[in-house]
Amino acid sequence: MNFLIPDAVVPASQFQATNRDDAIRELVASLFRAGVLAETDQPDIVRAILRREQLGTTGIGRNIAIPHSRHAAVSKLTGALAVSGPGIGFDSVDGEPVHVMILLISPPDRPGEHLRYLESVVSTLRDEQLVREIRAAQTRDEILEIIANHKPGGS
Amino acid sequence: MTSILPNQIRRTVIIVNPNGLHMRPATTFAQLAANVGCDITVWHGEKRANGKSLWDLIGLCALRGTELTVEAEGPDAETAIGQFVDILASPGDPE
Repeated sequence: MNFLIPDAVVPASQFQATNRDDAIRELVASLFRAGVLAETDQPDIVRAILRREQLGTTGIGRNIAIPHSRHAAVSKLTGALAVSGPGIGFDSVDGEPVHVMILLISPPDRPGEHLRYLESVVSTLRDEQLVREIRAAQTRDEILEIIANHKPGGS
Repeated sequence: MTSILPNQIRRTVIIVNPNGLHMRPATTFAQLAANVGCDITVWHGEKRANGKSLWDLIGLCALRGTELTVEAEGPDAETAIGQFVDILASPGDPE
């Protein structure tokens, strides 16, 4: 998951949002704070991601959501990760609250790349132990280390 | 349309959606598969997806131009399979 911007990885202890829309705003803001998005692009990106949610939830079950959109503000696939301790209502496919959110912004012209990264997220997060560790992690560095040490197919 | 076993139907379909089999059509597919009486399996070469599993379907990483095989087995397989082929063969929303 090398598209994750390390400074836009937010452990549960630092994540404030309690509902879906605020969670998406907070994830996008974390990318701005990490220096990969311009402040002026934030509102439009948030709108695009919320529009996508209206077409159908990106809460894919197992307490995971992958809110996403294409946007010209990025020139390569850019991702943020946040953990919610209490969980966020995402109208997920399995009805369960979401504890791990990975937000993806793709350049408009690379649909194949988007799908490959989506596959890599799904393949990584299939590992329930890994997801438990990410949820329990106290710091950003701990989450990054858990993901970096993950061995593909180790679920 | 080929029949492999009694009550088993297989059809192949090429993904024409420029975004491939992305999250939205995969979700529609999985939700429909959960509501039919037969088992639905999708093959991308040797890679197999349970049609009811959104995670499996995304895991196929079926980009535009990919040939998938849909397999329906069980009651109503023959009538059900067309709906699944239609989802996969859809060009997606114009943008």
